[in-house]
Amino acid sequence: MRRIVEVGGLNLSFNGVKILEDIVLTIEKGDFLAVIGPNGGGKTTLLKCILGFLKPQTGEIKLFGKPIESFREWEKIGYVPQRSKDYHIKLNPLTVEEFIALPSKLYGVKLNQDRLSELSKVFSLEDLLAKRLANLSFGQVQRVQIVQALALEPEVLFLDEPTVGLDFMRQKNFYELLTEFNRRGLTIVVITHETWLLHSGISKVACLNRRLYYHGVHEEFCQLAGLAKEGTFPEFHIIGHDHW
Amino acid sequence: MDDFLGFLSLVKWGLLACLFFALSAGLTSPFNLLNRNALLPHALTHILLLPLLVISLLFPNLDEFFLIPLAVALTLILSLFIWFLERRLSIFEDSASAIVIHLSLALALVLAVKGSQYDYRLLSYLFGDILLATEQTFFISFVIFILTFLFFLKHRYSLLISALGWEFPGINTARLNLIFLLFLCLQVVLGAKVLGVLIVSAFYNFSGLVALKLSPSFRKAPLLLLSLNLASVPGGATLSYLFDIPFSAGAIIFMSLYLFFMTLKGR
Repeated sequence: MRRIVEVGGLNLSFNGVKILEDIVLTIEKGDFLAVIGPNGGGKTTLLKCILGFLKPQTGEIKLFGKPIESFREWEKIGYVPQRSKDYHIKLNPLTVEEFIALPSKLYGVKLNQDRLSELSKVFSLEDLLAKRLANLSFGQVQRVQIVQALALEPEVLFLDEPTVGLDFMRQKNFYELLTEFNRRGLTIVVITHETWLLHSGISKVACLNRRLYYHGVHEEFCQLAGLAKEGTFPEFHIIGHDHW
Repeated sequence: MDDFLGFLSLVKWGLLACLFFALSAGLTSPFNLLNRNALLPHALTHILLLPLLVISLLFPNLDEFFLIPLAVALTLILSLFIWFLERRLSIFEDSASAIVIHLSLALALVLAVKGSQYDYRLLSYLFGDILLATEQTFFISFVIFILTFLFFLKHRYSLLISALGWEFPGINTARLNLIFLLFLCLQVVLGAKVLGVLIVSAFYNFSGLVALKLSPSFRKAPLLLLSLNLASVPGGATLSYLFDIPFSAGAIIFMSLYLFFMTLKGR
């Protein structure tokens, strides 16, 4: 299986406090990996190291087989950061369409208009493209962020707690869509606190709390954690899911 | 009318230098505003006093052509101290700016008192004089505009994400921010020379605010912003002539007018 991300012996400290300790992690093509762990466990920090925002004191990171220092094909990577209030700065003049096109401008890659139309349709953004980002609701911004991350047809998508603040049904529908993209071949890494996600379409789980305590396949993790393999929630049958 | 044309002829190099300064400021101002750092140009105008006094004491006869780059370099070094304090003490940028401004002013005061040397150019560099602007001032202003324009054209999207604090893998904006600060220093030193410290920061705020609020998109915002800044120069000159007031006051009153109309419109 082709390796998308390889992390070896990674250590990171801030002001003498160890945040990440001896992390070894491999993400392969087609994985749908959930990184779980307590607050302050280093999940976002690990993601920021993998994406090159933070430089670890020791350790090695490879992206698509290349050391991160010499990796240049950043358009292969889609990234949805933690929700930021900065999207709602009223002065922000970016339209939704401009926001979605930002990675193509930054990486100098042409945006495929057919792809944009298809994604806009799937994520119900067709009527929002000309609107200013600052005027959108919380849920709308989340969809726009996903479309932006997917617009350049990345090979791997990283999401940092993408469903915080969304109601249960919107979360469920959101992960159903991610599962569908994963089936089509997209590698997905999601950092989450939503434990119900462990019943959805994910294939692997990594438990992180400064150290990587577990990294393996979903079924094995469910057995170890005493969770039902195909658990469902009663709300699924009660609440309709015709909208986000 | 003849009087007005005579007035224009007298200040033509100053006005032309102002026009290109206004354009340069227009291209950089959105990023300051989006970064919630609207008062950075204002801070730089205050910090500038110390470099000017130092240069005045060390090189009393230095030509303008060398004086401006030297003043820019020293202002840049002092303004980097803002970033240093911000990171070192983990404080907000405006607090760090306030510290560096006051420190610069205090040191400048010490130099002014102890130096006991009067340099008439100091007043011109701080409070501007549109009448004193020469062909050389216009040329410097024009070159700064061209450089700013090319910088904006190539890096506007990276500057935008940096200003908004957004992270994209593989895009490192640290070096870009330093170059941005260098451009800001260049513009502020030139702006203070032609227009005076009191008005420089107005060109970074009034039009930028209106354009960012009213523009339907990021792509169209610079057009609106540059138009407003451009209009402010002849607008200010006209008010200055009609009411016999300083040009800087005329320009600020003119800029306040469209901000006032925007407020009336309730945007």
